[in-house]
Formats: sequence, structure tokens, C-alpha cells
Amino acid sequence: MIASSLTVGPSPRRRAHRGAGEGRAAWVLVLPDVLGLCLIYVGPILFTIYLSFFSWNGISPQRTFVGFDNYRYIFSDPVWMRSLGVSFAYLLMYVPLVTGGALFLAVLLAQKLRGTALFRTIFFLPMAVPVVVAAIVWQFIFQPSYGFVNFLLQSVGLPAQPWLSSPQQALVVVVLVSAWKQVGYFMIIFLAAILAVPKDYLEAASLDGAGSFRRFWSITWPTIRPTTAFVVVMTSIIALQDFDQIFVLTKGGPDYGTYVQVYYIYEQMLRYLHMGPASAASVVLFLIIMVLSIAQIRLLRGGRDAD
Amino acid sequence: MRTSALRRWSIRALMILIGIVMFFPFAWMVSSSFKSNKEVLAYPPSLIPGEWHPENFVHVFTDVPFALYMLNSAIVAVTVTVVALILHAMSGYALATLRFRGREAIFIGIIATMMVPFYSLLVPLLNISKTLGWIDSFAGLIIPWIPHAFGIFLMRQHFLGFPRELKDAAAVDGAGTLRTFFQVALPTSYPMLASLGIIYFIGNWDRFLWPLIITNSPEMLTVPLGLVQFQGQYSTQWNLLMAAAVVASIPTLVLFILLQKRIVAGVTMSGIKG
Amino acid sequence: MKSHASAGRRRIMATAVTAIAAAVALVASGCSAGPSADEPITLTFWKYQDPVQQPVLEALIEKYNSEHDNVKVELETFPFDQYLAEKVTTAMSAGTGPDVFWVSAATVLNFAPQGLLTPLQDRFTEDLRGDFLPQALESITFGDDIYGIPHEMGLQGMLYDKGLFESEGVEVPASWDELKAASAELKTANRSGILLPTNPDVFQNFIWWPFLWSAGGEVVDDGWSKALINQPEGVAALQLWADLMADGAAAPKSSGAFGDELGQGTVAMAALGMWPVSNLAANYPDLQVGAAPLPIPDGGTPSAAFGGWYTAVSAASEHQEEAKDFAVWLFAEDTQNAVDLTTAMTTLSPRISVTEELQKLPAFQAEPLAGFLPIWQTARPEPAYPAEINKAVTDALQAVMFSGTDAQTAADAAAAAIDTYLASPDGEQIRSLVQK
Repeated sequence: MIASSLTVGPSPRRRAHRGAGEGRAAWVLVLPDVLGLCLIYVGPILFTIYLSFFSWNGISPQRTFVGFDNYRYIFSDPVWMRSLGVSFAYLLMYVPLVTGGALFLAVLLAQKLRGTALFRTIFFLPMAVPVVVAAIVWQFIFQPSYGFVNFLLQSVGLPAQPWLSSPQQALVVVVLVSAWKQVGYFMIIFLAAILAVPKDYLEAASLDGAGSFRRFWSITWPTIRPTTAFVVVMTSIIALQDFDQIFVLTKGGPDYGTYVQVYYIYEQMLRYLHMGPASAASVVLFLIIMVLSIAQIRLLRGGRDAD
Repeated sequence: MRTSALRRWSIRALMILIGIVMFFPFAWMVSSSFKSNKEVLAYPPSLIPGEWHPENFVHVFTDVPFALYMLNSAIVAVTVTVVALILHAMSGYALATLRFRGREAIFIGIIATMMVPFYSLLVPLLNISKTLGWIDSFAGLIIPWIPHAFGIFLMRQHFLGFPRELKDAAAVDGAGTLRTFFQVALPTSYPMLASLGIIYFIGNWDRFLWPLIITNSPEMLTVPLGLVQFQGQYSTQWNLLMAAAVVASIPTLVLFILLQKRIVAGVTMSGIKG
Repeated sequence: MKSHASAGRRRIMATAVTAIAAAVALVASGCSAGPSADEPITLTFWKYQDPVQQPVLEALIEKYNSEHDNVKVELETFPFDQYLAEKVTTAMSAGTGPDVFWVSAATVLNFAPQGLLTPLQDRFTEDLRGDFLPQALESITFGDDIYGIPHEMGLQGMLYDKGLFESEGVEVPASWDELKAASAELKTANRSGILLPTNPDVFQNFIWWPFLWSAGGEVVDDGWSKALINQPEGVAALQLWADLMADGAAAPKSSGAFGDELGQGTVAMAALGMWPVSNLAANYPDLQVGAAPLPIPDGGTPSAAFGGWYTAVSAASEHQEEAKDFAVWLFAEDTQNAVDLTTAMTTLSPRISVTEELQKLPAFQAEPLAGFLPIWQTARPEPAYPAEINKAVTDALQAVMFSGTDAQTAADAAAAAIDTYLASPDGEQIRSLVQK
């Protein structure tokens, strides 16, 4: 009931009255971004789709039209299949970890206990560390023979793990490194959203006898739902396109253990100079992300009537 | 009262534990920045340097023109952030609160631009940049990163929570759509804008691949490209790399400390009551 | 701006004409940036970043610029990991590529078959050709076309911690069995026996080649018509690396080509070469580095590869002659240039006259670098394979090292991939190029 009063959109009576003026103003507000996006993204994306039907090495002028051959090629390429699996495993680990982690940290910080400001800065620190440096440090920490993590494990009697030299564990490590770096972004987004919940509502509920968990669940959680939806969609989009730390830590290995879809695209394009399959793989990845995001947006919107 | 103290202390314990994990690599970075190259790689590793080498920081600025790199990165990051914040607040507001034809399609189109990996856009974007004369220029470093779906999406989600009452109240006062946006909606968005501002600043401060592609001359390098200069083909000056990384992280830290009050200020939305 | 006074002093007419022409040109061009007849041509020279090479090359370029009024060479460097793939390839794609640049044996086939490099053999005199080791130009010569000029020779060898071997009483291994035994013996909880490259890239292949060759194996046959990697020799070489990983003798993850692990004491030996020696000396003065030939299997022949980069000219350059002039001047004329660079890098050179100079340096008189001198004449250059073939080999290595795949199976998979490639149009193109 409280949440519904935060829905948007003018009431039906006003809508017709304001429609025309709103429409024009809306276009004024939206146009600069839309034009910019068309230039920087839409053009290149259309070009990529176009290229996916050609065979081209990216440099020489001649391009040969090959129809759907590039798509046939990647669908029958076991390496591409592998990269699909790796990307999905990455997604399934990364999204809950970062979304849940960011929300959890934001809730902790929202408690505003003494010393919170310090912890806020500490939780933020990973964002300030350059990716390359973060990868180097974490690689050091996860070194199988002399790294800190194995040292800890062994000191409590657990066996040392191969970490980055195991195809399976390496994927976990690269997810962890990326999550470590990026959870801060979403933490401050959640924090801003949580703290934007009108205090009156929370106070009223508290007076009604609701405990802190109940208050969170009934008031805060529904109110920040758009933000949660945003974080889930964004972390999914990021998860399916993460590359930098993988490049530094494992170069897609060992034995394709961390060979995500973007790595496939990267190698097709810049190692083999096969722009056709690279473009086809880009298009397929684009479609996957698109379908996933739309599904998530629809699902997480739930029963709200907004937009 | 007892549970409250227990709760407070368990929260503190959790924060400390998580804080250690978050903080440790940064501590390692700072520690290494004061060591000799040999000591950085020594085994067993130590957090406190055996010998202190603060001259590493001098080397960072004298071995390579790091101050220039920081200036370049600052110009790029600040420009992109300021312009993008304004533009994305505008777009987000329109997409969230205004009714217009094609709104849904445009929104899908906007977030669709995030769904292609950057590698796929590299070659065409480079061609476009060449045509527009952006090679090796600030325009080339800045303009491609102003329109970005992330910020638009975030501001839209934020404005979805913008109370209708405030909008209606402004309309009653005779404000048109644009005035409502600039005078009512925007001021209530400062926390979210501050968050987005930090994210964009860091994103552009840390950007590596595009500056590598678009610039050629040594004077145009940005901080990430400067950092990697401490890594050679056959040897790396780890201690200098870490010192440079510490220096590189200072502006973002300062910015965060300055802006965090904004982020946690919360929002007083006057006019909601009743 | 250069004045034409010296020419004009003799012929007043010429001066007048020139002056009028210059005035017209100045007025016409205004502030435009296009080079007029007197402005020097700008040549861009691209390479990867390296702090050791940078001062030497800057000095050489300054010298060239001061000696050549019509040309201005600009050195632009890029991070090593992104240099060829992201930077050079995309720049060439957009038409913003360099005039002169460094290319590696592993990547030359991305450029040469597509006609993106300018052949340089017309600048190679008989004397110059004779000054190079016969095998040095192999990798970048196809038929008559020489596509690059090599300046360095990073020879491979086994580096080891001399002090450790002595204190543990272990003999430096000469055979594969001895290698396995020594690695196992020197392995402790915090130290591995031997360092092998673990990242899936061409460097891993590069270090593995001599193991393949010493066993008598090859990747493809001479005519590039079929894969030979799954012959018993290839399988044996794969098996060796698999064994070293399996019993934990090999370091599970290495951080690169620098050999830092030797200095840290986390490995006892490293399959590397001469190039990290100066880095080790600088950072780990307490370490006694020994160098030995890479171990060979029973009945095998000693083998070492050498790596290095080549100076190439882009076919897209608008100043072909000037670019070729510069590329040739760099390391195919005055030997002092190459001596300067390779001295700084402490590597040898495939140019005989240059190496003769290098051999006299104190660094090469002492161990461990002195140990590389006997093998430099017979070392084999890093082969130029297309990316698909390199990938097939890397896949096999990764599979046996990290997924426990059986060596024969992995080798068969590699052979199948290579055969598929050789049968494809791309493979056909490479085959005809290589057989020219």
C-alpha cells in the first residue's frame, strides 16, 4: 500500500491533458543521449551484424559474402560450445555473489553504527585499485605453492588447492577477483537506494512494533525493487562480458577453464583474424544477453503497472 | 537491550571480517610500493617492508611523465562524468516518468547497446573515430564514453521511485515538464547522482583498452597505460608499479571521501506527507 | 624551416622562383597540417614497451633524424600484451597503422600472406645476407621475399639455482629421465622442481619446441601437407611435460617469462633462456644462476630455439622508400646499432659480425651467459606457424598439463585440428606461401 503510492505516471485524467507537452519535453530530454548512442553503438553494432555474414580478415579490403556459414561454423566449433558453458557458469556464480554481497554490505552500512564511515571507505577500496594490479595481487594470494590462501588452508589442516592451475577452480578465482573489485559499485547504489527510503515510513512501522528484519522485508525491500532489478540485470550483463581480469590471470586457461564467450570473440578477431566468426559470435552473445535481460526486467518488475 | 548490543557487535565482527578481505590487496599494494623490487617478490612475503624506499614514489614521477598521465586522465574522467551525469539524469527522468510514443522501444534499444562486448565495437568505432578526426585527441578519449546505457538505466530506475505527488505538486504550481525536472526532480537525485558520478569517474579513470586503441603519441597516455609501462617484456619493476598504482588510486579515494556524504545523506522529499 | 639560400646564391632566378613558390604555398596552406615540400615526412615506428630497449632506440632514432632532414621518425610504444593483437591489427584495420613496426615469428603469418608487409630483399646485399646465420632469416622468408630484419637472438637453455644444486648434491640433468629425477628430488612443499610456462599462449609453445625437436619430432611435414605431432616423438615430448606436472615437480602456475621464481627460491630450475639473466642479476644478487643445455631424451639430439623480433615495413605505408630506408638503417647496416641494442638486452644477435662484438663483452665472458655461446650457431629460429597451428599445439599442452588428458589423445586431437586447417583454403594459402 505504501509502495503503491510511489508508483509513477500521471492519473488518467491528467494524462490526456498533458500528453502532447510531455511528449515533446521528453524528446528534448532524451535526444542527446539517443543521438550519442546511435553514433557510438548503434552504428558499430549494425556493422557487426553485417560482418557476421561475411568472411574478412579485418584488414585487407576484400570481404566475401558467406551467408550463414559463420554461424554454422561457430555452432559446430567445440571451443565455442565450451565458451558458452564457461560463460554461463560464470554468470551463475557472479550474479548472486555480487547482487547478494552488495545488498548485504549496503544493509550493514545503512545501520549507521559508529565507525561506519571507515568501513564504507574500506568496502569501497577495491574499486580504486586498478584492475591489472588487483589481478596481480590476487594471483599472488592464490599461488598454489606459496600463496596466502593455501597457507591458511594448510594451517587449519586442509589440503592445498591448485586454484589457478585447475580448470574448474580457476573459474571460481576469476569470478571472485571480479566480484571483489565490482561489488563496491553496486554497494553504493544499493546504499543510496536504501537510504532514500523515506524515514517516515520506517518510523511508522517501527512504532507499529515491526522489528528491523520485518521493516526491511516489508518496506525497504519493495521500495528498492527497481534498484534490485537494475543490479541483477547489470551484473548479468557484466558477467557475460567480463574479460580484463581473465586476460591477466589465466589467458582463458588452463585448458579453456576460464574461456568465456568474449575470449572466443577476442581470439577469433585478433588472433586468427577471422572477423566473420567473431562477428557471428558477437551477435549470438548479444541475443543471449538481450533475451536474458528482458526476461529479468519483466520478471523483476512483477505486478507493478509502471511503464 | 542485550540483543541490541549482540546485534551491534555481530555486525561489527562481520564488517571487520569482510573489511579484511576487501582491504588486504590494497594493503599489499601500499606495502609493496615502499619495498625494493627484490623484496616485493621475496618469499615468505611480509606485510611490513624490511627497508623503506619512499623514493619509489619519486621514481614514479621521474621515470615516466606520470603527472601528465594523471592530468590527461583527470581531464577525460571529469569531462565525461559531468556531461554524462546531466544527460543521463535527463534521459532517465524522461524514460521513467514521462509518457511518449516509443518509450518502451527506446528503453530496450538503449540497454541493448550494453549487450555487445567492447571488442566487437573496436574496429568500427576506430573507423568512425578516424573519420571524425578523433585519433590521438581528447575528443576521441572523451566523446565515445559520454553516452552510456549504464547511467541512463540507473537514473531511470531511480526516477521510477520519484513520487507522483511531487510531480503533481509542481504541475499545480505551474511548472512545465522541463522545469519540474531541473528544479524538483534533479535536486532529489543528488545521492544517486553522486553514486553514479563516482562510478563513471572510476570507470573513465581506469579505462585501458580504448585509450590504447585511440592514442598513439606518448603525450596522450592515460593513467592505466602509464601504469603498464612499468612492466617490460623481460622484467617488471613491481615496486614501482605498485607505487604508481597507489598514486593512481588516490584521486578516486579522495573523490569518494568527498562524495560519500552526499551518497548517504538520504533524501528528504518534502511534500510527501499527507 | 630549411632555407634554400645555398641553392639560391648561385642562381638568382632559382631563388626568385623558389621564393615565389614558397610564398604561394604558405598563403595557400594557411594553418593546414599537410606536409609541403620542405616539411619532413613523418614515419611512425611502433614496438612494444620495454624500459631496457627504450633509451637505446630513442638514441638511434635521434641520430637518424639528425642525419636525415627529409624524414622524422617517431617512436611509439605500446604494452607488450596488447601490442600486436589490439594495437597493430586494429590500427591497420582502420588505416591508422604504422610505417615501420616490430613483428614476431609467431605472428608474421597474420600479415605476410595478406600482403600487408613490404618485402625487403632488394635491400639485402650479398654481404648482408652472408652476415646472417643461414637459419636466421628462415622464419620471415617466403620464396624470395624477406619480410623482416632480425636483430636479436634470445637463446633457450635451462637456468638453475647453482647454489641449491650444490648444497643438495644434485647433478645438473642432461637427459629427460635425469630431469624428472632431479625435479622430484628438489621439490619441497614450497619449492617446485622446474618452471614451465602455464599460460595458453605462444610462449608456452616456444619453450616446448626444443623438447619436441630433440626427440626428433615435428609439428608438420616439410611440405605442410600433414601433421606429424601425433607421431611417437611428439607424444613423448607431450608426455614429458605431463609427467612433470602430474607428480607436482613442475610449478603449477608461473607468472611469466622473467624467471623471478628462481630468484625467490620457489623453483629449482626453469626452462627459459638467456633473456631473463640480466633481470635475475639485477634483482637477486645472491642467486647464482647456472645455465645448461636443455635436457634431451635418450638417443635424442640437442636442440634449442631462439626467439626474437623483426623490423618490418607496412605495405600500407604512404612512404615506402623512406620506411624501407629506415628499417634497413636500423639493424641491417651499421652493426653498432644492433650491438648497442643487444648489449642493453644481453642477448645475442643472428648477425655474425654483431655477435662477434657481443662475445667480447664481460657479461658474455662469464657464466651463465658464456654457456650459450657454443650453441648459438646451431640453434633453430622460432618457427612461423599460423595461429591455428599454434593453437592446436597449445591446446594439446594445456590438456595434458591441466586436465590429465592422455598424451596420445591430446596429440591426436592436435593433429586432427592441424590437418583440418591444412586442408582448408587458409591452409592452402599458407602451404603455397611456405613452399615458394
